[in-house]
Amino acid sequence: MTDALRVSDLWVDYRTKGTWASAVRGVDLTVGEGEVIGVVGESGSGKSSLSLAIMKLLPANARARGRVEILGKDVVGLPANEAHRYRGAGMTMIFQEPMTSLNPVMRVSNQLSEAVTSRGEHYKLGVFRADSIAVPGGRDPRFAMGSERSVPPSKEAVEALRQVRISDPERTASKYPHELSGGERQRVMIAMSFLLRPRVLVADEPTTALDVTTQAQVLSLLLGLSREGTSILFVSHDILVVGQVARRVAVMYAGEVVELGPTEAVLKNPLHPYTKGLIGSIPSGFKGERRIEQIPGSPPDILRLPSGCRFNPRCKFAMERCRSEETSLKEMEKDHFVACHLY
Amino acid sequence: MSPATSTEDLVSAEALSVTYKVRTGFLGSTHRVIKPVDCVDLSVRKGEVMTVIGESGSGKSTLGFALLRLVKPSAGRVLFSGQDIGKAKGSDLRELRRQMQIVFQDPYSSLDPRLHVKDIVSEPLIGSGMKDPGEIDDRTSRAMTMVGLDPSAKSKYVHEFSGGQRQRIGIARAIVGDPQFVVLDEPTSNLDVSIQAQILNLLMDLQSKSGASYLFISHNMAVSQYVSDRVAVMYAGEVVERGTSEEVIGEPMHPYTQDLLSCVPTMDISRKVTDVKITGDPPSFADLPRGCRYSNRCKRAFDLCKEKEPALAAAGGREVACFLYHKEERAVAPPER
Repeated sequence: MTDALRVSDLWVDYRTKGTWASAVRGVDLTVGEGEVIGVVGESGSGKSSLSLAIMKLLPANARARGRVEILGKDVVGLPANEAHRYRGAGMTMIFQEPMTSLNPVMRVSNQLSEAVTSRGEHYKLGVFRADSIAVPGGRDPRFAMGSERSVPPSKEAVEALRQVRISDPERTASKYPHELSGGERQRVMIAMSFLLRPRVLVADEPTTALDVTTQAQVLSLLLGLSREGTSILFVSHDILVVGQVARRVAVMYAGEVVELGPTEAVLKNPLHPYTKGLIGSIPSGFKGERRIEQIPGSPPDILRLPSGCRFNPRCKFAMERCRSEETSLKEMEKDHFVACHLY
Repeated sequence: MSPATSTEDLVSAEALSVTYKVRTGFLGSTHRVIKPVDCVDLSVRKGEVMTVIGESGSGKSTLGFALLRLVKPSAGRVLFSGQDIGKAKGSDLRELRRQMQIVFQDPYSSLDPRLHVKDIVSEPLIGSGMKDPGEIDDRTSRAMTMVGLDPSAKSKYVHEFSGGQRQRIGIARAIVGDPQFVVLDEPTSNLDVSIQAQILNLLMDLQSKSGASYLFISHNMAVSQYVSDRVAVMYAGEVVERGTSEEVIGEPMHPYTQDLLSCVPTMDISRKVTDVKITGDPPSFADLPRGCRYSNRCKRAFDLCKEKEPALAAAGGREVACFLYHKEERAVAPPER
């Protein structure tokens, strides 16, 4: 299997209080073609910075170091005016909050058509292989000022909405984002991904704002996309949601991947004390049956990281060595890596 | 209405409805009335944790607010130890306010950024008429210790605390006056999993120590199961199933409860939620389906479901509002006041 996305020794630093603080610290990760990889971490673990670095969407006060290869091409060193070619048909992102990621003054159908147009441009630019999709020539009149009302929803837009199981796609296509529910908006974002058919999709907490019934539908749509060959980096704080879609899962803590392995192995036989604590703190059972485990303390501030293993102040197995010596990923079982001095 | 039991109700809602006016049309030139809580009966017994489970827009938070008289019901009434809270005035109402507290979902927006922690936590005491500064200080420190905060942090501001610690401040404020009834509106849904575990364990300890009654509002099945004695499942403003947590979550009967639970990811990853064939979204209150409100999404709906609304009635040890189990119809809601 070829790797659609290869992240090697990626660091993301933010300029703050006159110094650089690293939110992502030397992450290595590969995603094969059509593979879904889960990235699990709590707030401040660096999982969102990782997503933004892959998309080259980091804010101005941040810098990325290392390599992010999309289909073999490094995007970290790419100038901004070239990076946008890779976004769209190359790589696409779905954000947690679908309200802020759709254009509020543009009808759904036109936003979807824009995706088609941009895909056409990608092919024209020769960045990715062209296929049989017609490429609208020149400036699309649908995006001209004042013409919002006059153009009927395009066939592709309606078809894409039908694909993401929106009831009455014709009517939905001519609506504005504020007229849709949260679940519908997130499905519009996914419909856009269906139209773009990106090689790499970064989904940053795509279901966190949704109800469980809608979440189940969105997860199954994402799986459908991966079956069509899209590689997905699925970022979430919820290891059980990740378990539903990902073949492999990476657990992040304080900017580092502390455990990486096949989803089932990580869930059933977690090795890192942090992963164990994370799984142990998921509520289960009826009232009074058992008490859930809790990890004491809270995640560290990236400006004041503890020395040695970043988890040592919260770890009940911490030894002398954990306080002084940094950890690195070691393969314990086949494809199951952990960064911990216990092993 | 609730299953026969010797335990006493502390809070009970009788045929409670809440309506909101929603502005529609050009610049809000017209409005229509929606009913996020529609003729709900609910009781919370002394010393129990009752959970209202529901998705966003099911009316669960509005119900919680109405039980505390934070929103005014349009019909029905709420009794607290037999007293109609809608009729309480003056010092009676102040005493009720001390007895009934709430912890909000968002620990960022629910705490005043310009107040010291001690002022936030002691507010219910001052509100209920306590004047002795020594006693106020004493009880504030005690509440902070109970929730695992260092009382020496009293003079700090909220922004100096993390999300989990802020929620502890919110809990300290709720318990400082030794209330008998606390509404917890999704108190852990904005927190990380490891912090959620700390807060849930803390809440369960506080509840069993104080013997107070908690009404937990949640969309998270695992959390609901973990904390509740009894649960009520809400859908589109109505309670569709109610019983003990073992009955309702362990062996759900209403098709909505069943579908909801089948969508929850668990440790068993071979059980795929992506195989669940549930479609659509919960209805908006402005556009409710005819008959049973779940009928347009229900796989087991038949003709009657699309014509008449089922009433909550006893079935299988709990109460269910579904024509699969009984043919009782919902009475027409009393006219609005």
